[in-house]
Amino acid sequence: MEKRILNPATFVFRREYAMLAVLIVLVAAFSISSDKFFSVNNFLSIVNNAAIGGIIALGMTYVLMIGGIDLSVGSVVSLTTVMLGQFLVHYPVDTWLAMLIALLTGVTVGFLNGLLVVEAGVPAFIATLGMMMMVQSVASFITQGATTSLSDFRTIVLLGQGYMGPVPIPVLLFVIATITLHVLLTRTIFGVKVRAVGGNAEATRLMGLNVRAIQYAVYTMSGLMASLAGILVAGRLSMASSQAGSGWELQAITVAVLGGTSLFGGQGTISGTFIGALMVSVLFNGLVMLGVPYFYQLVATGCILIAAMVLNEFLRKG
Amino acid sequence: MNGNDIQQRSSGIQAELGKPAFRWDRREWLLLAVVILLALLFGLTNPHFLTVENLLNILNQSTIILLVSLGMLAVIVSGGIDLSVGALASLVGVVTVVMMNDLGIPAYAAILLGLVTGGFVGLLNGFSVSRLKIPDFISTLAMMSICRGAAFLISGGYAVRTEDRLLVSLYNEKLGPLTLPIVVTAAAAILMFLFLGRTRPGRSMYAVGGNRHAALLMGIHVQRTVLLSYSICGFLTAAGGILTASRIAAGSPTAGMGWELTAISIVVLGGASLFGGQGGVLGTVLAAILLGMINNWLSLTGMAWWLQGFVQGALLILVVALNRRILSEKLSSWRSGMPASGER
Repeated sequence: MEKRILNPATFVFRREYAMLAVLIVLVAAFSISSDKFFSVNNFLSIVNNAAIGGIIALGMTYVLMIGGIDLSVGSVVSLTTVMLGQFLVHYPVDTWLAMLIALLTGVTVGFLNGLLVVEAGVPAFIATLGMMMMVQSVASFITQGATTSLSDFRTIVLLGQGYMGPVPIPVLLFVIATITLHVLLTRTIFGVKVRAVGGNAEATRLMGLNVRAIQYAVYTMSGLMASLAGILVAGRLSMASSQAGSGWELQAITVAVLGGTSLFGGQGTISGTFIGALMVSVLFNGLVMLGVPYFYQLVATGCILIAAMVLNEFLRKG
Repeated sequence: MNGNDIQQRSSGIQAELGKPAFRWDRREWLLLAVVILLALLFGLTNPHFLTVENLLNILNQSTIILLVSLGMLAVIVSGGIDLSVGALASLVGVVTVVMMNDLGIPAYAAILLGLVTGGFVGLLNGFSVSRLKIPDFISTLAMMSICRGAAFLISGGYAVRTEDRLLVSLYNEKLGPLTLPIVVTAAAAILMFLFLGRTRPGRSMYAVGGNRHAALLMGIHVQRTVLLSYSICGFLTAAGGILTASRIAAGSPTAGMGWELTAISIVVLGGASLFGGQGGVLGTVLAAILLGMINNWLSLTGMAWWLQGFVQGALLILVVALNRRILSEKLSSWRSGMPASGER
């Protein structure tokens, strides 16, 4: 007990192992109960379904790490697809330029979140909730409720649905993002600073680190990851819609927390979030493979989420 | 820190813990000023706004979300959060209507059972937060998924219509110049006001939300207090769900979408802190009326529907940012002097 408190590294390690164990139990259970579940193709599709939500959850992990929260990510996904639609269809610009503008959308919203949290001192939950409402409104205003088809834009569609060899492109991007952000968190000065702010922001400030700059960077990064996911969503749906990202903020938080990130800051790992994303995806895939109707899936997801948290707590203590 | 300082601080704390719900603090004055100012402004720009009929209409339209917000207030004051309210309201509506239609239970009994369902789900939330120690955000999020799924399952995926006189007339029933929802909500607000301000469990909620560990050391039954706060929230949400079913004459599995975030906005606009220990009924009521007024004015003037969300979001950020400046220095200084608690 004493040792675990003194040594955060072992603590985090154990928590990840606990979640990995839960994941393995889930995979084993589904493999036994459904003969279609255990196949390479199905596993690829599981990771593919985890990819987009997972990319958002990676950014969310950083925000949760510094003791914040970002409820605006779902609306950023929506606005990103809408901006893509606008700039590709209505003011035709080059695809790459449109993607750059779409990414800038997320960066701007993330920066504004940082501004509200850092400069105005608004609690993160409220700042990003207000931002979510405003961004969603802007997206609805631009589209006026209509959807725009993007199926003519090959690059966008390829990003969302294409394959590189046997590997879907979203999976590739998800893995690259996971590795990059993992290295950033564990092997760079910036990552050390992020973990320091999450552990104790006041102490970090007194140590002379620029806490504000780190907060700005983390919120901006979360916005960037959300709009990266937004581009993939636009590609996967071949469509721009102001409703494309509704509810994703809660899913991203669920994924990060399942992966062992604390809602109170200071604790969390990128690899844990990766496992969390897989877990949610395995759950949905498995329930579909078992032929469970959608309504039961909602109930089952809630129950399994609670069970996983209880089991996680149990494994961590035991 | 000298003795005098400590004494000053603790008397400040005493005053704060003594009667925050009864004292109109600056935030509530600010909110009242904003409400009156906006009402005048809206009245000037639109002649239909400041009519008795329209004002009653605004009150009537604010009732359902206010009921839910009052429940949310109990949870937030105790330092928790409840994301399941929207889904629960929809589940209660569906359960009530299905009990009447398929099981032939008389309306009053079905309504009572609906309220019991809400209280029970709230109790489950409280149980998983206080006993199973699952973070409130996650356990109520899971409950949201479960309630929504259950509402879809029981209703078969479609709104279940009802023509029962009693249930359908609830929402429009006139009691003198007021409607039944207004009277019920006013009664709930007064009861919550007295409960949070004057009773032992109500005061315990402020203590638990303010500093859980200190509350425990003071001998407050923390787990029971948390359990109670979620149960109250479930119960009031159920009342909101039944009024919704009455309004649309159906139990709809898609009702209440997004209510959780609206209710949280209202409670926070009303001066509550998401870290717990702060907030009051007066502020919550004013905030609900404020949002009701703005939405009413936007639709009266034919402003686009999308603007409602924008204004609501901007207002939320603005008021909270202003509150942080206006909030009394004394309060914030002793609060920031306390160690940040790891657990809410």
